[in-house]
Amino acid sequence: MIDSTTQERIIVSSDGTAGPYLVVPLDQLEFVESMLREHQVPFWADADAVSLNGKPEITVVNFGPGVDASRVQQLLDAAR
Amino acid sequence: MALRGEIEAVRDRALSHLNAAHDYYTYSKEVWRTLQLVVQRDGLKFSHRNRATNSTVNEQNFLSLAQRYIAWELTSATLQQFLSIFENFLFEVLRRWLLAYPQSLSTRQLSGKEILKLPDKAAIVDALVEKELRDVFYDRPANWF
Repeated sequence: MIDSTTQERIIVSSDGTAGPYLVVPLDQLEFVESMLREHQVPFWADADAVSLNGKPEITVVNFGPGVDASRVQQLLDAAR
Repeated sequence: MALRGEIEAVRDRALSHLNAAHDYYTYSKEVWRTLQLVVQRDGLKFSHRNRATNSTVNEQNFLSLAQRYIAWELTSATLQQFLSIFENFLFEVLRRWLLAYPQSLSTRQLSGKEILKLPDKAAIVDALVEKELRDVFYDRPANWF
């Protein structure tokens, strides 16, 4: 899946021990959420969004430590 | 002030503290998010040293710390703060209620030594209320029933 603001691939970050997460533009959040629900991946999205230097707002989708980051990445890569 | 007015004032203070705690949580989280994004998207580089513990972190260490701080530490600390505000609210409401209607404490007892230290009936009622609240809030929950 391509980030609509950077035109780059959306990457699932797995640094640290708190579980994977991904950064997604707000206008793509609904799509990502419905895809995750469809594949029964537990997640929670931040209730707020950040805009850097006046660019479109982006937010974060968080996963618990039990979620397989590579599986989520595969789902994102398969999404168009 | 009438009891209703006092309780409303306690409520308003509690709500104000809850809002302040929520703002602190939200904007602290946003600062961490901004830092994460600036490192990931703009390539910001930095390092910090905590002179007290001598630990050093760079921007990559901060990325993993940030997610843990946001997802666990900050969230659980804020929940504890919410509980503390609510506990204080409940304590203050009960205290005012019992002071207004002390008859509900008519079976409670103070020792002669405790009573002799107090100047008047109002002070005795105060002492009974404080004793009741101490028992409610700090006793083992198993003893409530």
